Amino acid sequence: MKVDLGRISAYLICLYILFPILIVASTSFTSTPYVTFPPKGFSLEWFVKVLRDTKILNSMLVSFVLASITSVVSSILGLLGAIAIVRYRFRGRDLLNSLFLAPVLAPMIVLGVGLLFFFTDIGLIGTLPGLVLGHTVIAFPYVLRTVSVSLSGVDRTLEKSAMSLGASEFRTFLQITLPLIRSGILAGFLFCFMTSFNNVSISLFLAGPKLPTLPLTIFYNTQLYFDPTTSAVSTIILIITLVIMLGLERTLGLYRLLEKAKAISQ
Amino acid sequence: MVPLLYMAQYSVYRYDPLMIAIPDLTLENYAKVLFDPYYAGVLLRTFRIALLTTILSLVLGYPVAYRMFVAKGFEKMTITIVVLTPLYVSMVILAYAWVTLLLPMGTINSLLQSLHIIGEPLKLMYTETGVVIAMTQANLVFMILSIHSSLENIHPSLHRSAQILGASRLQTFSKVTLPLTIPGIAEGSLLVFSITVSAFMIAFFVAARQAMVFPVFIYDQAMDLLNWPLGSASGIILLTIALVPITIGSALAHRLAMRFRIAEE
Repeated sequence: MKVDLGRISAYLICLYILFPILIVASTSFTSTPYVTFPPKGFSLEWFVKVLRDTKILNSMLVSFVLASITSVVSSILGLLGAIAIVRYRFRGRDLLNSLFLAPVLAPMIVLGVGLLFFFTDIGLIGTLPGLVLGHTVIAFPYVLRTVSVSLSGVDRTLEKSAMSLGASEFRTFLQITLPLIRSGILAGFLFCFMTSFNNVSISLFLAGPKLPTLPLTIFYNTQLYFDPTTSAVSTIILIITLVIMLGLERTLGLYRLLEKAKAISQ
Repeated sequence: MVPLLYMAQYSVYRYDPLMIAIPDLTLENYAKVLFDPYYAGVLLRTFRIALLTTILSLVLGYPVAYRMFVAKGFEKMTITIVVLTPLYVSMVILAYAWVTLLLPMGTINSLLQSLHIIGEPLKLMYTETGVVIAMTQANLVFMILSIHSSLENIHPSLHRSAQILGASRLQTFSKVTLPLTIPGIAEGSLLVFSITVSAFMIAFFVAARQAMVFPVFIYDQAMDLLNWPLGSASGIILLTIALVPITIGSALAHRLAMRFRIAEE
């Protein structure tokens, strides 16, 4: 049998990419009081401990609320922004477009520190509105991108026929355009949720002690002590992320997903 | 935009231990970061780590991108999902994972020791080697996607023509495929470089203060030492370092792509 070196090396590198995540997931089932691999024994005690830990449960709630509000706000803003950029021609349109997308390119830490200075000045540090605003800055470009793509794919003749049949502009938008770009909005919404739910670099500067998000709790716990509870929390987040990823796959399909990831990263 | 303006403003203020910042214009913060030997060392280390990560990403990324391009059906889907995973997993989880892997008693050392490959545990945690290993895993995806998209852009008939003209598989790869993916390589390298330069979370845990890099330095200035002017100047410098390669890169990649398209026709 011929050995395909290229294929084997590609698989090994894939293993390297997955390795850290697999380790975290497997260490959360260990029955030892310390993080070890390969895990010794099998137990769910760390998950039970997580569910009894009011601090972790509280931060889970904070993250859910924050991610939900951020996704709603970002979706509305992203939708409006996309309509303005795709449908209207005005001066400074390109500039506006690149300004909207700039937060994705700027280093997260620079953005975080900048927001810290800004929000300290206007008194939004450590508040939920401050966190929502901060997360919206990094989340809303995703909706803008996904909605812009589906909006430019909409056949304008459909809207024109609706209007010629007497529908108002608003009604046309609601009953014709909106259903056509639904998957773009949904995908953007899910991307936002995931971005906000997983974010730590922005929260780190804006949250303060009263609003610990779930990733922040991991951030601080990892510095204090080292027990499998953190692995268990991470596993829970990984499962939530996986569910959202599958949701994205259902609404967009994998190859579209790949295209989206590329569009956003560049 | 406003946060960046705030940052620009603080960066030219003078630091004061009591007031944090005194508004009189000065460039001393910039001078300090760029010319003080300690700070310049941090900056240099950040560059070195990003450069090594970029090279390693290129070496490891190419075979995966190529496999992803050649594979079909289930194999293609699986590779794609695996490649995209680090993009969707919270950075703090990746950082935590790497801490458990790299510690002296961590997974990598205990695995290598139980296989009798090494006697003494390797020093990976708090070293540049460890940071590069972790950063490459986290940022490889950008290299793979860039190379993959330039592979997809190659016209399939070019491979066939090369083979009809008698080129072996290796020759086809080195004479046709590789040169045509140079735009993807360039784009991926610049992307990985600028993302690694500004990556915070892995640097914070794996490099920590022992192998301090620039983003961690900025965090310390802003959150612990409360030297906002110095932190701001550093932030502006980091922003420049991160954005310049991307800007040059997209212009360059575009021109290269144009040239190849003309050559193809």
